[in-house]
Amino acid sequence: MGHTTARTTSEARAPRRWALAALVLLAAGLLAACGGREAATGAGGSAAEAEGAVASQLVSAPAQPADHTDHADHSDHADHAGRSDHADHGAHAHHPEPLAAAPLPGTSIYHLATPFTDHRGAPLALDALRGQPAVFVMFYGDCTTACPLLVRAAEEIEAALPADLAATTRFVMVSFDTERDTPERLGAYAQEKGLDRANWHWLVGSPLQTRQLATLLGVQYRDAGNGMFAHSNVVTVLDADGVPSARLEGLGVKLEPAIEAVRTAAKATR
Amino acid sequence: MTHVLRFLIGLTLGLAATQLAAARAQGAQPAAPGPAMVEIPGGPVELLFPVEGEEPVEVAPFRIDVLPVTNAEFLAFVEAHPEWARSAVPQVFAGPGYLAGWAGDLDLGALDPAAPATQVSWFAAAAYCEARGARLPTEAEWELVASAGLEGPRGVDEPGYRERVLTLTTNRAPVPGPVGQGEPNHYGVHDLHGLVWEWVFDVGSSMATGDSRSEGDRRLQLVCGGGSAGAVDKSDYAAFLRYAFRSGLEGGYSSGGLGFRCAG
Repeated sequence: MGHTTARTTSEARAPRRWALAALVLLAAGLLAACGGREAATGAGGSAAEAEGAVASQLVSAPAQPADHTDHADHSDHADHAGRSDHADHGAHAHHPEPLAAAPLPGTSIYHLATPFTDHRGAPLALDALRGQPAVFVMFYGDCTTACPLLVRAAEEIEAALPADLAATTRFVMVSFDTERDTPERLGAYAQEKGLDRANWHWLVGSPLQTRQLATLLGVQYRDAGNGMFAHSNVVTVLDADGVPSARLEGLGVKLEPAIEAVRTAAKATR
Repeated sequence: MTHVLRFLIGLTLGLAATQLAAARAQGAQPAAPGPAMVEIPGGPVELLFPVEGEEPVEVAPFRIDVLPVTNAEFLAFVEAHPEWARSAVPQVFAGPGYLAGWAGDLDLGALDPAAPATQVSWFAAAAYCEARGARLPTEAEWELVASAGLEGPRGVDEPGYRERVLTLTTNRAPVPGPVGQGEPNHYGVHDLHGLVWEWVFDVGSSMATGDSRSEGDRRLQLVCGGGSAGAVDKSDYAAFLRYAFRSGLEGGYSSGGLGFRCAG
């Protein structure tokens, strides 16, 4: 590292203040990054700091659920639901409909409004999933190594839930491959896996929607050519309002935090 | 005082318009009704850190804005799409820094209307381009355009190219000035290096690896000195800075040094 830095600096001949600041910050980031993958995210941020950014903004990514905001939003819902129930139909106080009518929390992924298309060829807007927990996985049909494991992780989460909760929890598998994974192909894939069930949604969207969703879920992916995609392996649990409450990254990780998050999210809706 | 400011703003706007006209005169095809775009022939792009076993990215011909999107243009977008106003945008699409320098929802305040729009999240930048019937350029497309020199499509063939780009990259003003002041490159595209960093469509994707088990290796390869032996061109330090900066970005992030342009 020192070698490269020294050489490029001398190439610049007139190392100016900004260059120096950038190099120092980058170098600090490099040292931190080489200790582990988590720290590497901060190293990218060090370049951001070099151009005057506030590091805390990088840390407080909006996709991360902010507890205080959530609580405020939930209590808003409760208030709103409570009031409309009393005024209109008090007998339905436990009904999920008034909740669905409340504004989405600021950290909800269901703000992504453009509908995806499901494996039955029907449009599905994400906010239609409101009212119960959901498990999101991004994958693609031609993926033979990682993706089947990700789908199986979702299956195992479902299997670990009590029957009534398993039946209401939504399992949402979204394809990276907006060209090849047509609704028909996704339908065939779901049937082949025995997962063409009412609570499983196999979705494909436009390139922009797919990138938007991946960005919200913190999933990195790249078309590597030859019909292959390089991607990170992420299982995300969303609460009944579409706010991420658990995130598993990597293959073969323990599923308990996701199972627990589904249970917690389900309890909150009752 | 305000007269002086007005004069300066007028002057900078005038200069920007002159530059724009010059870009058009050079054969840039203005896209109706949006701002001027130029045709970029496709070709193979070698990313700074190629993944072993993967072919170089083959970029199809595309069009790209000659200039970064300006504050004035982004203001017009927010006026037409109030859901992207500072007070209306959901937290999930834009963090607290979003348009933080504006005086109000539809008020640029002290910002130069002709300066690049910054403090814009990836989601907002993507929505802006979508509203124009365009999109953000992919990282490979952006790098293809940025790798051109003043004379030809391969900047590295021109003496002093690396030094010029590094100097432009590291000498940016803390508050970016008007767009279009920098020298256009071979394609007639301005301000790729000297004003702001720019969002790309596939944010964060350069770090994804093909083999799931080596996930994250490429990121480490990029940021760790020892791994930099894998880079295609070790002397392109400005490219190191760009890739490192982009690798740390998340979609809701925004800063005063980060803008964007559209492609199609």
